[in-house]
Amino acid sequence: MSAPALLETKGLTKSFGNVKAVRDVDLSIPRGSTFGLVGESGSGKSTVARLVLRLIEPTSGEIRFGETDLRALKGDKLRRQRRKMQMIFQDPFGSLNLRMTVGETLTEPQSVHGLGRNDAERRARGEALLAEVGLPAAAMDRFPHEFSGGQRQRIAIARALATEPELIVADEPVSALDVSVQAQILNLMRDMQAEHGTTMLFISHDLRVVQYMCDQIAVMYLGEIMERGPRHRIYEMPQHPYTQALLSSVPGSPKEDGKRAKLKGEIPSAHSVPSGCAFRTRCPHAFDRCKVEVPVMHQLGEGQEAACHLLDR
Amino acid sequence: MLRYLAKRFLLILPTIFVPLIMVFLLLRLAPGDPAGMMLGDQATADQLAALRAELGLDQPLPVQFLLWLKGIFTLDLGNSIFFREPVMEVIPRYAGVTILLTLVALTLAIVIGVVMGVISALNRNNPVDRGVVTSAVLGISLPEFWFALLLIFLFSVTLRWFPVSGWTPPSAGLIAFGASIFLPALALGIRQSALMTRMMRSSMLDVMDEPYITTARAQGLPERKVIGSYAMRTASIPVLTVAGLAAGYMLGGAVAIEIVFALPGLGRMLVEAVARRDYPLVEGGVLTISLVLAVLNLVIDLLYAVLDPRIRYQ
Amino acid sequence: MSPLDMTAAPGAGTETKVVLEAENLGVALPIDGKYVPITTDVSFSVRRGEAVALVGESGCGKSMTASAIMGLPPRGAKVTGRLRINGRDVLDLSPKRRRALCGSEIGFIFQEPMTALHPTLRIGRQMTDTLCHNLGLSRSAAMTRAAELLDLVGIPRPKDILKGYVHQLSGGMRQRVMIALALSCDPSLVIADEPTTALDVTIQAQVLDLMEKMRREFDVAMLFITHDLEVVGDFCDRAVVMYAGDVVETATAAEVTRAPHHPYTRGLIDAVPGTGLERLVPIGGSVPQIGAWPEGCRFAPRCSRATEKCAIRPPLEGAPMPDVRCWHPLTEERT
Ligand SMILES: Nc1ncnc2c1ncn2[C@@H]1O[C@H](COP(=O)(O)OP(=O)(O)OP(=O)(O)O)[C@@H](O)[C@H]1O
Ligand SMILES: Nc1ncnc2c1ncn2[C@@H]1O[C@H](COP(=O)(O)OP(=O)(O)OP(=O)(O)O)[C@@H](O)[C@H]1O
Ligand code: SF4
Ligand SMILES: [Mg+2]
Ligand SMILES: [Mg+2]
Repeated sequence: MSAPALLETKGLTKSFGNVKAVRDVDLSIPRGSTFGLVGESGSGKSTVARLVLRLIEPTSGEIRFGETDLRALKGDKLRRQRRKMQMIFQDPFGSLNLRMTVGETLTEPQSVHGLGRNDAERRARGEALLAEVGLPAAAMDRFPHEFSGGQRQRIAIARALATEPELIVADEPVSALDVSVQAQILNLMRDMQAEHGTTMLFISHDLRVVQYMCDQIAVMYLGEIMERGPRHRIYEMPQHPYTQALLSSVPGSPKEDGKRAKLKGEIPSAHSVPSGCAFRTRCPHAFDRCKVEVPVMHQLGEGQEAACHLLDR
Repeated sequence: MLRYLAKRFLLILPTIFVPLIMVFLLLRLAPGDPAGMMLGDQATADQLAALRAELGLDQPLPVQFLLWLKGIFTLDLGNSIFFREPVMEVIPRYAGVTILLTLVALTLAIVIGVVMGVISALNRNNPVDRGVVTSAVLGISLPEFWFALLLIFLFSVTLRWFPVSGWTPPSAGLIAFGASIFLPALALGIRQSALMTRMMRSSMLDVMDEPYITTARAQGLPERKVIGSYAMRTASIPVLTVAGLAAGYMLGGAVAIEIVFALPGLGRMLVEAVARRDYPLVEGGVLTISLVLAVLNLVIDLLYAVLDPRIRYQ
Repeated sequence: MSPLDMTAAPGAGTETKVVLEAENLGVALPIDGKYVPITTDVSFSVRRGEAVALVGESGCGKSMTASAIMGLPPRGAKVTGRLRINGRDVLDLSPKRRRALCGSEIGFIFQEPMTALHPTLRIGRQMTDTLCHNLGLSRSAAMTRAAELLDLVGIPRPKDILKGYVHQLSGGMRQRVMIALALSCDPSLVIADEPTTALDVTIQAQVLDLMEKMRREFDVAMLFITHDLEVVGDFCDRAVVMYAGDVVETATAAEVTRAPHHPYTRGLIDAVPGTGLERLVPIGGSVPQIGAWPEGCRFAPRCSRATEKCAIRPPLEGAPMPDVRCWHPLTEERT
């Protein structure tokens, strides 16, 4: 990986009581890139997002943002750090303040972080942001409920951009949208990213969307990273059995003996993570060792890594 | 399931003891001296002191309270100052009336509330629904004793269907008992039944829009069954919450009703005992009411668990 | 032209029974005292053994069409047009006779089995209620049959599951129960409303496999509602594409997913990220609100091929191509 990492985590772990939501997650997101996090429901993607934004405290592990140790930040310093990290959620209805006009939504984060010299300047910037996401300036004085789902997501993107963040964490930003609108938003996010050079952590369960958006991809299962690497390696030569199964479960993939399903059973509860390899209860290749030993990450070249005992052979 | 019940039971303990402590303190801090009341104006200071010592009133408050607590656990609540006999013997004479009155009122309220709520919901926004909703608003805004007087005037004085007042115990024949308790129970329950009607109506409206109701219909089940066993089952769960609160209100409201209908219940007994500064009897009465309320709530919690398996398996 | 004879049956040559036939089916709902059309002129048919997809974006009227077929539209709805199930006109049936078709002739699979199954009734009770009512089985015979059905849909320990409740099951298991329930009375038509949308991909694959197996085993006609064109290509024989309450195209699944004729269908395909990384081509604008459909072709404001002619409503026309509602369909021009 050439570019220096903007965001780095080491051994990031989060437990909610005896639910181990995220375990030992190492991430390294190069500045200016889009990093994809995929995995089934409950695999811990949103928890990682909330951890790296310090919306929740990790149980253990490190998070570095550039030169800054995020875990050590407190009070005012943390508040100033927040300007550099913004989030876009799945449901813009839930994340936009319904009682604020779009204009207020776009100027408030600016004034909170002391951006812009006066209201007029902040408002002008708000209008520029709207133009950038393809909405008319007239939208400034309207309320979120007057917009369609896709338009609300545009507003959420404009708000995220308002503080000129270095990192945007997008948690399932297009999952609630129809395909035709989804394509508009995906293109918009790609353009934004190219234009501002923003680093992006992009979370989705849709493998096709992740492939379209992301340079680097990490595949999560039961709170752990199973495999990660550059896009072409993950999609063209996945090495972890889970990644392989996930990719061949996408509708339209070739069937084997007329069957689509490559995996039996369902993701176990995070209350009782299997011993050894977390994936072994569903893995078609699991053997004795998988039960007793946690597999380590194997370097597979070009930055691709996977945690599976098969790779030892 | 057992754990759930044990947890509910532990949660109920404070609901018994907090009112007891409050009553204990209020009585002692309020002006008025039971010894003085009992002995009359002519009593000498010596006589008063002797009686105080006999009643334990010369001890500091915490000691009095501990002694009384000990009494609860040894089932000895002391002697009624007025009746001059053990509280444990006085209370049962009055408690039965109040418990029966509350139970019948609660049952009436639930039945009326559920039936009217369902009828109203199934006739959403037509004249039947509007009629029910309007009556419910009336029922909620009118006080119990007013209802009591209205019922007496209508059914007892004008129509002569029921006795005007007085108490017939169940042992004297169920019909006579029913006749004597029906109006008081109705008066006591009507306000709560109006609340339950509203609750049942809105919860039924919500449930009728649930996908599992559509599933039941899509399975071909007749509408009667869809409503009767699929919708009402879930819609009645919130009504139970109201029933728990209602039991509390009813035990309180029983005072007024017992006085209007001249029923020899705990409510009336308590009012008189307070006036006479009969500490042991008041405390015994409050303890009984708290216990009854606690048991009712426990039963309601049990019903919850029966109706909603999601609670049982938590 | 009637919608039945537009494309050859999958087993060409043999006469296959038409199970469901909708002709100009329309649903209107009273909104603020006025009837507002939600769907209009929906025409298509489904044969025995065939899986027909009903595709389109959110709000285009897929679920409304399904509920009209079931006879369970929202209260106050006005359903117009013609609807035949196993050759019988069903729109004029009494509510009771209509209800009798549910379960026994039509099975329904919902998107969200968690909310579509009763939260406080045992699974066994829900299944046996259906079996007893529709097939007249005794409770114990129904219980045996229910266990067999659960076994058939791949549920381990069916007897225990029958005693349990929905919230105790995982998402995939719930959908299996839903499928067993829908098939329990041997219907000839199964309508599945986005049965895999709420599931993870690996579970979606399992459920699609199961539905395919059950479709063959029970030899049912299936109406499969989805918004995912890849699933259409993967699972269905034919597809009916809806837009703004209208059927805009009816063709084989292969045609719809690879060489569609309607500009909207084309737009849908181009909007989905594929394996290539070339820039997506979104359809501009957004779906018109109900009650605010444009006159003429409802897709015209978003269509790149639109001309003046599109101000007139195009008919749903077939031959020589599959049925398309468009004045300027892709591939050859119409004469
Ligand atoms: N606040 C919380 N308290 C308890 N458990 C939690 C909490 N938040 C998340 N979890 C659990 O942590 C695990 C990971 O959840 P998370 O939301 O991160 O998954 P996800 O990958 O984002 O899934 P989805 O695709 O459904 O959004 C799950 O088992 C979840 O139940
Ligand atoms: N009860 C109702 N009252 C008013 N409008 C309704 C009602 N139900 C549905 N609609 C409207 O009818 C239109 C069609 O809805 P329908 O549920 O059929 O869409 P759909 O194609 O199934 O979409 P989705 O993919 O989101 O499920 C939508 O615009 C919806 O808002
Ligand atoms: S009729 Fe016209 S506007 Fe409508 S889809 Fe065809 S070309 Fe486009
Ligand atoms: Mg999430
Ligand atoms: Mg739908």
